Amino acid sequence: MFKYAPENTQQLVTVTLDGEPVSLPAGMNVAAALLGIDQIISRISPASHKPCSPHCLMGVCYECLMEINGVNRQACMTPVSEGMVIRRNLTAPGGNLHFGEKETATPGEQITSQEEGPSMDDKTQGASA
Amino acid sequence: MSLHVDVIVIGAGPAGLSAAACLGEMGLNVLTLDEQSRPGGQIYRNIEEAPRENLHVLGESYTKGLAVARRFRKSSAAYASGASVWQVEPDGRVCYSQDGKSRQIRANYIIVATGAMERPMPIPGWQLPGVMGAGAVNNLSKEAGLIPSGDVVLAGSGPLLLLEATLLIKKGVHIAAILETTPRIPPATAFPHGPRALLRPDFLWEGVNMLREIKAAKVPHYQGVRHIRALGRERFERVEALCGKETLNIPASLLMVHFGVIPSTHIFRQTGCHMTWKADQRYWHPACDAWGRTNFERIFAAGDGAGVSGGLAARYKGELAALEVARCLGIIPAYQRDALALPLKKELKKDGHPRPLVDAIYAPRAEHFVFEDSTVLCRCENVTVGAVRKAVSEGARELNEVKIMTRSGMGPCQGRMCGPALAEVVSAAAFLSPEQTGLLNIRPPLRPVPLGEIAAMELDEIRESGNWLLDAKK
Amino acid sequence: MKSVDIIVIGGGLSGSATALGLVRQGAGNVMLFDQQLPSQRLSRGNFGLTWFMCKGADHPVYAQWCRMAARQWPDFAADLLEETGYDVELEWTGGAVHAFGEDEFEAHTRSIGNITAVCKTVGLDYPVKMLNRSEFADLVPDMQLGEDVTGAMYTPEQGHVNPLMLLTALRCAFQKKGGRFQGADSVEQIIPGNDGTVVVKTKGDTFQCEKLVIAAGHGSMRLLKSLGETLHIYPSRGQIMVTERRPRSLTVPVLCVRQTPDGTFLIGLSTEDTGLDTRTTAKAMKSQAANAIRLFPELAALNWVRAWGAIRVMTPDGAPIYSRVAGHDNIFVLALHSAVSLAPMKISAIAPWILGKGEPEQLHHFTNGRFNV
Repeated sequence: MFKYAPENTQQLVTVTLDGEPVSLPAGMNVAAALLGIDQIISRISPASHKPCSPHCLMGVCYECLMEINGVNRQACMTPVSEGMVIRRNLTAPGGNLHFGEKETATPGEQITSQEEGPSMDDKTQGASA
Repeated sequence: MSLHVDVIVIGAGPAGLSAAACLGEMGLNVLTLDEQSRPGGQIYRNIEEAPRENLHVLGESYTKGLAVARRFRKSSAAYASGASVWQVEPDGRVCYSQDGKSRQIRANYIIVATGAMERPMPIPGWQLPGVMGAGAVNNLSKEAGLIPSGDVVLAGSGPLLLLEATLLIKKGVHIAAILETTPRIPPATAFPHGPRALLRPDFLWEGVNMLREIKAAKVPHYQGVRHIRALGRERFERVEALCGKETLNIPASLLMVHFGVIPSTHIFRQTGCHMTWKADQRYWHPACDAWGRTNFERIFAAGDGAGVSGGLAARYKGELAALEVARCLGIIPAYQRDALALPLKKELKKDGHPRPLVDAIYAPRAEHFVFEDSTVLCRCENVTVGAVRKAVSEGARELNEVKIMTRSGMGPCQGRMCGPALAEVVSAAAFLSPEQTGLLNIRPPLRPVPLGEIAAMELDEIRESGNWLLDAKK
Repeated sequence: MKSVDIIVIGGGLSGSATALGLVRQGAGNVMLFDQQLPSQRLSRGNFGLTWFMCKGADHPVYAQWCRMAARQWPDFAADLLEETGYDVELEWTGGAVHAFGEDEFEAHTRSIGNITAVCKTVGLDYPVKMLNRSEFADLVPDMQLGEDVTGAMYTPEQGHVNPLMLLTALRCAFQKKGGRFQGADSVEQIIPGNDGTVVVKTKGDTFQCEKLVIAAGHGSMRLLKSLGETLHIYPSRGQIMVTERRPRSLTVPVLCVRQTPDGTFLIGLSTEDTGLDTRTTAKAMKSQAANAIRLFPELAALNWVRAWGAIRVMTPDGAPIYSRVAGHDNIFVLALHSAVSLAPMKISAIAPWILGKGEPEQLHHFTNGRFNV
């Protein structure tokens, strides 16, 4: 989705992304750095269970939340540093922070997606007591 | 670090940098808290380390920032980067987090210069990966040197949309289409502002030039576009829209949306500042006097956060707030403040000549906000427009009632992305005005902070008594 | 002038539950007024426990009342789900109050003994026991206990709920059964008539009703003054913190830490004398965070995302006020701080009482007049 302009010069450092080592430009914000290596998904939404991607890149939308050195942070507000450990939890069952025995829908909230991919809305009524 | 400073400036964009520099030059103890890692805010992002190519492409409105940044660095104002403010109190106490540590600092005056944000406008599919704000792409270019690699569609309204287009053209990005919701013929309300705008022929010339560049690049430019929707399976693949009788269907790899700019108001609301609804531009801003003072004596608003008027105006407003603070602290008398303020006010007036015309041409109208029930309104909690309307049908008459019933506004962004649309949808559904349906209550922390960091926070009380002759200065 | 059967002023948890109880009892035309000011309302600020444990330590009838409510909760929640489709997320997973160190452990043990004896005086059991550290650890297998934790008092016979969903469900059920909900309308005047009716003037209209119920939280005082009655309530602030979501690891609610089904942790819960000021303080956030971490150290890495203060409607003895206004047999006032836990009683006991269908024996312990010395 993005490429570096030709005049761009960077100093790369090694970080761990989801357990694998990658090289990212030092000092650049993590969200931008990941977009630069074509990693456009930042997390799986705990509410919609769909993939999220940075939207505003200025700290407003919180779509770029990911675990950085053990704490969930906005990647667009965090500069890359050597040895950083980044975890996006994209492959956990149902994705990041998906859990709970019951997912219940508020009537009227049925999300009919506009060709937004296979519906992951698996609403099951759990026992209430 | 001192626990008590004269002035805390929150934000290091044009307003914050100018305010802090002015106060620093007067010898005041100023601390600038910037949540970004380098000064510049949005418009001057990465200005100190911008590659020369960028300076050339982005032009004077960007390079002006160099002087602003240099003045700031030269002044004695202290700069804290990566400092996220998470609570502000009217008595001057500020809590912020930096490098994993939270601190509470007290200031005699606080100048809030946190700027503006792009108006978040829910359209079907706006949560798809591959849909980004135009400002986001601009930031990527300035800070990271990244540009879109494939086809881009620009959609929305406002002068910045067209400016963005010209910048992309200069960088060699292929724009598949510009979808402008603004009608080709400006509304009648715009024409009375024409004469005043003519006082700034340079500005108008710039506008004409932009349109010429877009035409020369053969970019399809549609106006009066409606019903924009982003489509795709796992990510954005194409955009659909209506233009007149034609249905447009344009594939691209990136959809850049921009629906104008609105003040970022979270700090003001968390503190309890009185807010005003600006009906012609449909946004909330803090109620301020001519110097930027809010209803709280110690809290000032400067820059786009006080009201959207652009980067240059932000510099002047920042400096005006600083002058008034300096007077309040007894550094300069009122007549000197006024003398120093005079040229700033003149420049501000000159800078503002085209604004009424621009505002009128691009004025958002309630009728333009057409939302489908299935569109996601609150991205964080995945709440649809339909769910919000249902809450109103069950008796909710203000935004916080809707919030507790639907969870809209309860996610990580604390209503930054859904607040404006909530105001439109709820007021329309309840047959009330946005002033009546109100604003979401904003609570601390303004940014998430780990519990461990809060538990470890030092909350020293300022020592009131003691024998100052014998006590050693810490 | 519009004529209705009953008007309920206050659309919070108390008013909404009472209004629902009234329409379920076939009370005719019932109107529920809710001013919906943007200020912090107690009903929006609740922690969400449906508990009887630790309540009524020197008030056996109150202890009994709380226990009755707890027993009715599961059916109450199921009925709401069936009527409205809203799931109030009741989890009947018990409840615990932890102890740090030996002294607290002993204090909790004594408290159990004390309340057991108090309950016995009204023929009630008190199914609470002390768990030692390893028993407590077994109760919360997916959480690590802090090293100071010596154990906890525990009962399996209570739970926790989503109080916001509860409020939404109550109002929805009320309207589904024909009740009329009037939001954003302020009651300006109450004028009792000589013929046993009451006139209620709002910002937009005038109404006449046979019976009036005032359940407006801290707004009730203003309304009652005009009727010559002083409501014996005082404000007590509680501050609550909410964290980001985390995979579910705690299902048993602990007094000051509980995890909701969607994964957020709620941490509380202070008791402060600040009048009606709902602001939160860094000091309280720090001490609550430290306390939560002392109990469950792994919470330290979790982000705190929101806090609020809510002002409890406290009575001098902590027990509710369900009262007729002196001299006005058809005007009722309801004021209490645990409207979540006690919500089922509005349906099963308070609504029938208002309609003259019987008075539970406990009620004469809950009058406003009991505080007149």
